[in-house]
Amino acid sequence: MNASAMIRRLSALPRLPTVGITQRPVQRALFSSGTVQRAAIPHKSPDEPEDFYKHANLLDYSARTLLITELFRGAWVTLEHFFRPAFTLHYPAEKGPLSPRFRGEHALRRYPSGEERCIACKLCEAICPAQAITIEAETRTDGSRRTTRYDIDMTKCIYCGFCQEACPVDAIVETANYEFSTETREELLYNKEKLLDNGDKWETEIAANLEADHPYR
Amino acid sequence: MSLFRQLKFMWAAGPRESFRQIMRIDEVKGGTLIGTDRYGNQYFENLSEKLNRDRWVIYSRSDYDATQVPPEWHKWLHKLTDANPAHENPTLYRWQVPRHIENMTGTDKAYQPYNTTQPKMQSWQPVAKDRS
Repeated sequence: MNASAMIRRLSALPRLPTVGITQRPVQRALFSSGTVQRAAIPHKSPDEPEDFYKHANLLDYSARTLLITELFRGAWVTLEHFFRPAFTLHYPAEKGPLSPRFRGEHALRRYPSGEERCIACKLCEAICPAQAITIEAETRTDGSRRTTRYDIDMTKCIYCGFCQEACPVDAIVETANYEFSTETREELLYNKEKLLDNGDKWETEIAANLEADHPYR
Repeated sequence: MSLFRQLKFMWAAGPRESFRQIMRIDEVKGGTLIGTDRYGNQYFENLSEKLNRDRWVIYSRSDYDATQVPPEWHKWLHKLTDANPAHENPTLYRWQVPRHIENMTGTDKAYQPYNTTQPKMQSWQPVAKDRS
């Protein structure tokens, strides 16, 4: 590059950069209190320089690189968010929303008379993809067929909810309780008594959730 | 929460209540008292808070735990219902557990798995025959 070309290039100062980002009026995010305009991000290859640097003259280029304005603009966004309310939930005081279909800890339900619902049809045991359910059944002294063993290995369970879908009498359900973490592994090997106990404990919420969801089933 | 709102809520709550709330939920919040369950946990709502932070509980016990929330308030706290559980009067079946039990893991009352069936095999009892 000779001297005259260099001078011509430096003297071409008023050439403004045509930034590739198209600013168009977009509806702001529903829950955002910010005033940041969203813009489409143009596609470019990794080696391609930014649009600003492609069209900038030497003075613009030097102003950008020497004054490191990106850092300060980034720090300003951080500072703005410092003064905005935080999104962080303060668990356990504040808890996130759940669906009535939430699949948490298992429970075995009873009829209003107190009779257990499970009739040992073993459909849940058959459908369980993780093979976490073990059932043994016997005829009771009054002639009805009930389980003697209903074990769920909660460490094998993948919480897919197939067992409650398969159940013809709504006996096995997954409650909305997800706070059943234990200190030992063996405490997660639930037997029938533990599952019935869960049902007796959570019945008000189980019934409310089933009622809320029944129009969609 | 902005500093101004924090100071406003602290002024409204007073020093004693502010200290209690900072111990429980790390900040001071202001809202409508929706109800109190039978264990003394207080449930609040303030719809001008951030999304999902508008319902909260202040536990009565200092060794609070998330599993101390009884089922009827659990479903309100998780926004499974908008109905106020304090106004509901659920009729409990006699087999339902009237008292809510928290997660007892790590204590003496933790659940221990056990067999609910008769053993199907007997162990061999070796008896030596008299050789005389």
